[in-house]
Amino acid sequence: MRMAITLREARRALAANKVRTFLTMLGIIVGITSLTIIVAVGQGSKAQVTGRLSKLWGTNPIMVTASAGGKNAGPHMGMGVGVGSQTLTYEDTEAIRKEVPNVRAASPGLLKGDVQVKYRQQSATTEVFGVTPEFREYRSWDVDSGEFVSEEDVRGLARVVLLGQTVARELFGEADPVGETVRIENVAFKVKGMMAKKGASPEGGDLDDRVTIPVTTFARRLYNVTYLSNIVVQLEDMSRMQETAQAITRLLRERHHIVPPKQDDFGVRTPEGMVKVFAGTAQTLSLFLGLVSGIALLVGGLVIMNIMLVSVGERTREIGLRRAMGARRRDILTQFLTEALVVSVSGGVIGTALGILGTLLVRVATKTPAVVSWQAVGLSAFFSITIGVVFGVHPARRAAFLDPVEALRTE
Amino acid sequence: MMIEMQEVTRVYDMGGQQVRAVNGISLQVEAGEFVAIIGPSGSGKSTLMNLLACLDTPTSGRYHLDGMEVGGLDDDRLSLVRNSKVGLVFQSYNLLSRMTALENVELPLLYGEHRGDGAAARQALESVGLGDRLHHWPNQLSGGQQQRVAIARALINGPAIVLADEPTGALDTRSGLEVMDIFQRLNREGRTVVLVTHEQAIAEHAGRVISIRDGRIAADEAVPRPRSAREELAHLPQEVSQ
Repeated sequence: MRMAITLREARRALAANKVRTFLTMLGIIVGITSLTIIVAVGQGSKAQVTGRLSKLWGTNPIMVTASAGGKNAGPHMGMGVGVGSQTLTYEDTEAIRKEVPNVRAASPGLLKGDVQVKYRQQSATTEVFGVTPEFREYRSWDVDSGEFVSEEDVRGLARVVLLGQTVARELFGEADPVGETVRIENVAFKVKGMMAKKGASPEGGDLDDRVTIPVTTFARRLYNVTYLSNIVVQLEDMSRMQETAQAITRLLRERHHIVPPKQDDFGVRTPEGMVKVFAGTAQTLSLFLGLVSGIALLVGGLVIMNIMLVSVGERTREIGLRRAMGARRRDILTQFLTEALVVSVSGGVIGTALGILGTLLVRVATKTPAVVSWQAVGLSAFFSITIGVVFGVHPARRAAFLDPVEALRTE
Repeated sequence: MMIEMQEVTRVYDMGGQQVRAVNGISLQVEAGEFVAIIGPSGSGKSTLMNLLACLDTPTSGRYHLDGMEVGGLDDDRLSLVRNSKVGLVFQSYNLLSRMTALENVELPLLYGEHRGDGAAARQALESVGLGDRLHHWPNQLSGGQQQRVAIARALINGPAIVLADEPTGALDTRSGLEVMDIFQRLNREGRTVVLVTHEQAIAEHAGRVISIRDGRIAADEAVPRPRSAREELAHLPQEVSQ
């Protein structure tokens, strides 16, 4: 009841000078609007990155790579043949499959970049992947036409290849390559199928610029290597991913005789970790825009503080009268703090509404998958209330600590 | 005893110089008295009035209001005393422009311990003859009407004393007399009224006049036959406007 009267008074006091009240709100409105859009765009691009990553990465397996990765995680994540270390082996694959709990399957993989593929007079430089049939499921490598690498192909070191869309276009144009013969490093391969289009990778690479052959053919017929580029590990229980990743790390350190301070000669990557790496750029952008909205909110808060100080000055006599009528200091404090809060929260509400509108505009204009979430709205509410309190306290305290006699004497 | 002051002083520090605005005043007012405090400007009567209203506290001396020592109270308790025991009326009415007459009268309820219902404020306004102006804004009321709203506001919490500081100072003769008539009626009904003024003619409506000079009581005399505001109003020539 008392609060209702305080609110009514705040509303009337603010309504008495509408233009000033609006200008007071302006900073908050700008700040909250940009904040809402930033959070929406930030979350949208994170969802987009995660989506793209699962396309690239498949159904969230753990990947063991033949280098510690991290800093040199380039397009091949530092694991191509001749790039990474040469210590990851088929035996490691077997050991992971048999000894680490929660592992459903582990498949060996090889890859090499800058490989020449030729068809008659046409040639293309691309990446070659040596895989097992499981890769199709694990990494969401769909086949557009023809068939994927089979169990028999792997066992028989078959010279069969699946072309990515970019490679196929470069070599065959619009013609259907299935059944034709191409030469990889001068070894003849029969085109068994075409990979489905995958688009761009999060860092801008072309995921369709690659060819896929059986891992055994890669290792013995093409390059004669005994080591692996990577091992893809499938789990029974996804929720235990981190502990399984740690168990794999322990096992491989043991097998590779790695004792600190010696560095790991392999890397164990989980999708969560990758999301963080790829979301980095989006985060930098968000941080910058966040700074902008932070400054707008700060300025908005300072404007509220200044206008409230002016208002306290103008209403000194009213404050004196209220004190004479028995208002305690905290009653006056509450009154002016309520006014500051009504301004900042109203600004917040308007800002959030404009922010939602702005998000829709951004989505239409830039095709960014911006999503307005409860986090964005919650953050706006939090900031507008905080600013009202933080910047309202000083004027409210000044009002509360006026001397009643002096205040009543003011004209 | 409603008001009991003993050797009260109030010293201001004005740029290093000590100013004794109230310089040892002892004063007793019985419940139900109508007292006028009179003195020229600078005599210390405003300071005395602020002390009586609990807006200010004495530098030294003791002040009992309605049996309660006011001197040592903290700001919150002092606020509560103002709210519950003192009904203040000012020269310039001091109504809040964004509130209706009724809301202005209800203002002290906002800060009090007990909450009245709308009926109390309505009755208070009716008792000062403004039953038909409840929802008017202050700027829709004449000066006399505004001062009557202020009196209704002073009465809303049933105060021990009504303190009026030059209540007729901004009013024409008729409105001023109407206001004085209300004070006299309140006093007849048993209310203790203290009036601060610099006009002898206004002071003579009280039953006792205390003269202040240089921060001290210069004279304290009973008025043998107080003026009656009602009779004066009856003898006033009729005016066209209200």
